[in-house]
Amino acid sequence: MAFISLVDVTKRYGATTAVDCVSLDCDRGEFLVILGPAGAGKTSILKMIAGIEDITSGEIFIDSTKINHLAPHAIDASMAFETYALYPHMTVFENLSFPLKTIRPKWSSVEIERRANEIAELLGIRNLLDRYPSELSGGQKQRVSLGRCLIKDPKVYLMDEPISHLDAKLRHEMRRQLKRIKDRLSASVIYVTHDYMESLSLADRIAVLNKGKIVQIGTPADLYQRPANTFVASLMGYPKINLVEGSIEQRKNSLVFTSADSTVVFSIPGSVKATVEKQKNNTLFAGIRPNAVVISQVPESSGWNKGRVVLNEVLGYRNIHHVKIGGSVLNVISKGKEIFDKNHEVYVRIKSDRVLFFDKAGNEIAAGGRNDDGY
Amino acid sequence: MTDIRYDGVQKDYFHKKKVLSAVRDLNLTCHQGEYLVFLGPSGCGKTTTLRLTAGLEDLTGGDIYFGQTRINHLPPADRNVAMAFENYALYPPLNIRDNITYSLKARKQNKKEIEDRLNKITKILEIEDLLHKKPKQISGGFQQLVSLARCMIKDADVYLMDEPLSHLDAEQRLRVRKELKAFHNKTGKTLIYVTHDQIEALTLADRIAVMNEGNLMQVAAPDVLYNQPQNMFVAGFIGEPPMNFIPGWIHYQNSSPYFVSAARELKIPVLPEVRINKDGLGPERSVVLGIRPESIVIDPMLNGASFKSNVVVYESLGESGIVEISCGSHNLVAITEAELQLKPGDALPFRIDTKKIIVFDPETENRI
Amino acid sequence: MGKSRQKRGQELTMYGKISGETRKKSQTVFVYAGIVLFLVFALFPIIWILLMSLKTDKDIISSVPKIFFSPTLDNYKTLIFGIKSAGSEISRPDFILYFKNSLIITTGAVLTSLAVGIPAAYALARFKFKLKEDIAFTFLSFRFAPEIAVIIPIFTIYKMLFLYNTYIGMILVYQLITLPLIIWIMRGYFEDIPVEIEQAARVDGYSWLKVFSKIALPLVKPGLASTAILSFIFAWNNFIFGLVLGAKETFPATVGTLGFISYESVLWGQMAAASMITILPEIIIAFFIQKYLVSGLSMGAIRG
Repeated sequence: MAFISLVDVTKRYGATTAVDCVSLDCDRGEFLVILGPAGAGKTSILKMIAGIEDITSGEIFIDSTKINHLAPHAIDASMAFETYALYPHMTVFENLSFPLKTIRPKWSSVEIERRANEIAELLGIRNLLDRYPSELSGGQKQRVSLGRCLIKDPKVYLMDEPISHLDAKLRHEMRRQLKRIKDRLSASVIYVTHDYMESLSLADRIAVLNKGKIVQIGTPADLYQRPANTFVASLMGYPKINLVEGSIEQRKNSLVFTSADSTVVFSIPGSVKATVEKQKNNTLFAGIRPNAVVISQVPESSGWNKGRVVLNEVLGYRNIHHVKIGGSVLNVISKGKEIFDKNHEVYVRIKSDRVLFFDKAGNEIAAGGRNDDGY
Repeated sequence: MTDIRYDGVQKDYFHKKKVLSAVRDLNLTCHQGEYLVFLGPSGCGKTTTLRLTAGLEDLTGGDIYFGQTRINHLPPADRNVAMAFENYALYPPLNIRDNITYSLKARKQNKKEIEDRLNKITKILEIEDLLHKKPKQISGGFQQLVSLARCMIKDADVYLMDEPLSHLDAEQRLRVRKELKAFHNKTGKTLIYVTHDQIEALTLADRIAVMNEGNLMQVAAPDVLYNQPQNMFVAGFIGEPPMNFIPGWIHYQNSSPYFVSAARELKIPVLPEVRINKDGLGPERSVVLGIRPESIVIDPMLNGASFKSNVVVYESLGESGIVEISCGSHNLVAITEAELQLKPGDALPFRIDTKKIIVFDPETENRI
Repeated sequence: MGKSRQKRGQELTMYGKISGETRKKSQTVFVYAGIVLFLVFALFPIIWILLMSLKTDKDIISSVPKIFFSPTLDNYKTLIFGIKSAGSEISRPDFILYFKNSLIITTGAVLTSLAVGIPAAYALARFKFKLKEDIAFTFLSFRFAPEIAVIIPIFTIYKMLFLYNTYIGMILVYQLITLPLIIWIMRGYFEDIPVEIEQAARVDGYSWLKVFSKIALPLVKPGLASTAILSFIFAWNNFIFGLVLGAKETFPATVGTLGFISYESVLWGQMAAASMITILPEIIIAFFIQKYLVSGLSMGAIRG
């Protein structure tokens, strides 16, 4: 059995089912990320593992011990809450050292102070140790909350969106910081977020959760390159993957994908021909990532589709063009420095070897050639 | 509909004999019909400025003009503004429908018109199913959408929005952002928007007013702020991942200015194309160099003009990757492909796009 | 953070306006006029009694109320020291005893209610058990019944249990006044503590009892202070329990003041002085703890 195991765990609040028959494993020392939109049930899962929420049905094991009916203080876990949950009447130092006081054999105050300073240094809050939570900014509170979680050495760290309320600059820094210290943590980590970047960067494995159910579990590479369905594909990436509805047709001597109004057309690459051919009479979705499209003023060869820019978001280095082609609007990230203005006519080429194919229900059929270097 | 002018606006709070200035000497004109975004970290004074505009706070000093009229003492109800609060501020005992239509009913507008507007707004924001519910029955994200609906349904001269998307998840945020832009285009009314999310600001604004600790740091169109920041704060705040700053000196070699980093590992020519006030480049002048992550090019083929570095952390994030490298005593962040296999400690040569550097004065933090 | 500065600004400008909102000058005049009117209405009886306590009996009963008079501290002297001064009747030095009784009974009642009520409030706030709301409602219902309606049955029971005219008996019956107040108000304060803070302490390794003592109790301190004072005031002011269930040994000051009315005469001056002394502790306590009262009563409204 894995180090931490959830077996058919369900959580109901009255008539609402927040977690629906979820089974998850987390190995010793593994960094597992639970990814999902707001309200997916992620926080409930963490709280059940920590013992602060009842488990409606199912079982949770930590290190081969069933913890369903154990009190939280008997479970060897520490948690960083999304709402920080700092103790308002204690200083930052006291907040950080609070968990250490329950460790037996007892730590001396010298040891406690040393450890608290160490954690504070790691998170850049050393100068705040004498302050009270009400005197801290949101970002500082979040780091204190993280510090209180990391200060112990439990069997599992439970983190609930620990960096989501930081401003962009701090979020990037903290994410890298977490990645750096990840290897130092011998404990397992179960990390909950709605931000796909955090999951791609930090996770050993990602479990995607939607409306209380597990959608897909896999490594970051698995989820990005072979998403099980359109939901997972849409989660991973910014801007979202373009989903074009269409079908497979035989044209002249090649197999092509064509959108319903024949405005988006590209040929099917050999690697997936066999699988895709079986779908000839069905409606399909082609999943085209924004960076799998080349955009140009003039078509550089045949097979380019014509469209018109309806919106462009110039975000510094990454320019996103929204190109309307017939009835579809494709988001395109252009690597080059060219910016095309609104209402400009442009041509796009779909890198067909990177296209993902989904059936009508949204489930994956085939994925374009995988780059054997890993991504 | 007119311009809104902030003239020496000051807002101080007095607490235990100390003066806290939330807004310091703000001078700014918001043009009629403009989508102006106040951007800055929490506590910078942007929300206070919005509340002063609405009349929910008194000015300590300075004036605010709507056109030619000084409105300092005009009560909020008479200013014809519509406001969406970050904390929703919904009326608990009323259901969602009544919450949204409250002000319209109070002004005794035509019933049918109220229904029409209600239907339109709730459809755009995808909250039609919630109309009969009460605020505490719906999640924070939806409450925020209701608050936004309540603001947008009104027919005001100015729309004021305080972080109206902060509690929405990524997908809702994208969707509503598009709708806000469409709303602004359609109504053509002035929209003043407060946020700490620079991507939101860059996407929505006609102009962005960047604030820090009560001071206005720069106000300009998004691309101007990005390419020509006037000070280190704006340069470091706009752009994700944020700009790298390297302290060092200006060194002259054969009459050409070079930037030399503090620990002397980097020597970068300051090309004529770089827009600098040349008089500011005295020899041995201490400066700070700003380089955006995308101007650092990771070059696996070692080439004469490269610098050496070691990988600290590499993140592969789908479309692209972010790598933190250490070059001597400096750590830099660069954007790369997503497919690299970099491990901490790997040697990594890199180049710098020298046309894109920006030089700052370390003391004033202003651009040279 | 900008928000906390705004909150402070709101606290400072809380009189009259909603936060720092602009207000027309004409409105301000009306507001102040209203405040003055109310103050006059509320404070008039107390000022009258204060003046009475400083007048001689002759001045008090003069047909035209005397506004200008030479104040005297005789009434107070008589009460406290029991000195016979020329022209005044023999006072009841017993007043000091009654004041002492009030102190013992009221303090005892409040302390007992705190000791019992705080854990009860916490249980009602945090735990789930059968008939929870029914029990809570029962506590509240103690305040519904007018004391007069239940006083005769209680008198009978007390006589049977030998609780009549005892401090214990008085403290016990005073629970009907103080306990519901403490339970209901403290329950609200405990409920205002975000439950995640207590959950965090549980995860940090603390049993529920430690969480109660280290986290919940310290966080309701301001509420505690204001609730204790409120119940002190209600208990102190009570008249009927002391009157019916006590005798001379246990009469509180409220009842003791009655003694100045005899079939022959009314000792107005001393009665007034006794009244002033009686309300003195309440005024002093409220004055010193008013800081806590405001923050205590508004706690929970401002989410941190």
